[in-house]
Amino acid sequence: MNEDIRQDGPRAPDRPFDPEREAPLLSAYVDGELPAAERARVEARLAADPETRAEVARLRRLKEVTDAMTLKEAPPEEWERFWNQAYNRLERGLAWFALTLGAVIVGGYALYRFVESLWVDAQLPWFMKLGIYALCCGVLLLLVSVIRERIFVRKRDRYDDVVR
Amino acid sequence: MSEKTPPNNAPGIGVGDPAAGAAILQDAADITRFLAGDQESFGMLMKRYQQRAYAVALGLTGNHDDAMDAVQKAFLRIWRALPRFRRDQPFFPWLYRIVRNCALNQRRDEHRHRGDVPLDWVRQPDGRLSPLAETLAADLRERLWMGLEALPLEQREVFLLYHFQGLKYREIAELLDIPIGTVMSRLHSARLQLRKALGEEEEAAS
Repeated sequence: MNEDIRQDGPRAPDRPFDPEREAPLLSAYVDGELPAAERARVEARLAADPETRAEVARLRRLKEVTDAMTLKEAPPEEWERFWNQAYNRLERGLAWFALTLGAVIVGGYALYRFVESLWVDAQLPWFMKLGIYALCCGVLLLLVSVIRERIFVRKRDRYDDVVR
Repeated sequence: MSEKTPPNNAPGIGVGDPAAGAAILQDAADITRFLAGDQESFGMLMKRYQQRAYAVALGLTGNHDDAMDAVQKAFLRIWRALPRFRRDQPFFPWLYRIVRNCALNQRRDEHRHRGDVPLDWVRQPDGRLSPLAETLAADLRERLWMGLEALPLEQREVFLLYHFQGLKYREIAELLDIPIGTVMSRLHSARLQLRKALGEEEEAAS
């Protein structure tokens, strides 16, 4: 079916309604969503064509059925539980953030002191010092790369707070 | 024909709708208070929208537990993202996109058994079924729901927004960023599919 049957604004009122190509207008007619000019075109067709009248009647009956139904609501006691869980979840999120931050700071400092102690150790062979140097450069480059990627994605993703 | 109101009687999102205008102001006030450190304002804001968010999630996941999980995840995202929300805009479209995506992620990640059919009959103010509902076949809810589940996502979404969120065509078009003609086509296609799913039973409504 044609997805964009009517982009916006009414068509010329003298143009006859085409039930094949413009069938979605019948749904809009039943919903009372058509502008006056379009409504007039549909009504002109309805007056002249029993098949279109029958189709509108079928759409009305379906609408009556769907209007008689609604989505169930969550009971109030569920919402009480929901809000308790939500605040706990939020609290835990903050706790994890603090824990991670603390671990990074403490771990980072311990690592720094460890590498520093090895570096100044005169007994350590030169190739081990080279290894430590390469290890530090690798970690630093990875960190910079990940941060840069995150910033790049954040700047370009319109729905970064929405879809994940 | 009676018109259904969205869950919690929340206002639409239409520009120029006085109720929507008042809602924008109320939401903006709560958000401003929240950003100033009043965390209770967040709860007040979200409680106004919780049933509506639940209806969005339930329509897309088809399962109470998944819907509650998706809404909870969505609310946590909103908590974090609220400083970036533009307060001169209606809140519901923004919330809708977040809940929708959390619900679709939930649907993809969880494979729970489908529970009860999440559709109910509209009841009269005294709690009784409407005379129309009493004349319809008992399994009609199940068949309608199965028909809805079988719809392509884009048709199902438009159907849910129109019938269960009470939005107008133009509001749906703005929310989904599609032409109004596309809303019309998707809704019509959805109805033709549902008609097939319901078979001749709908005749009973006549």
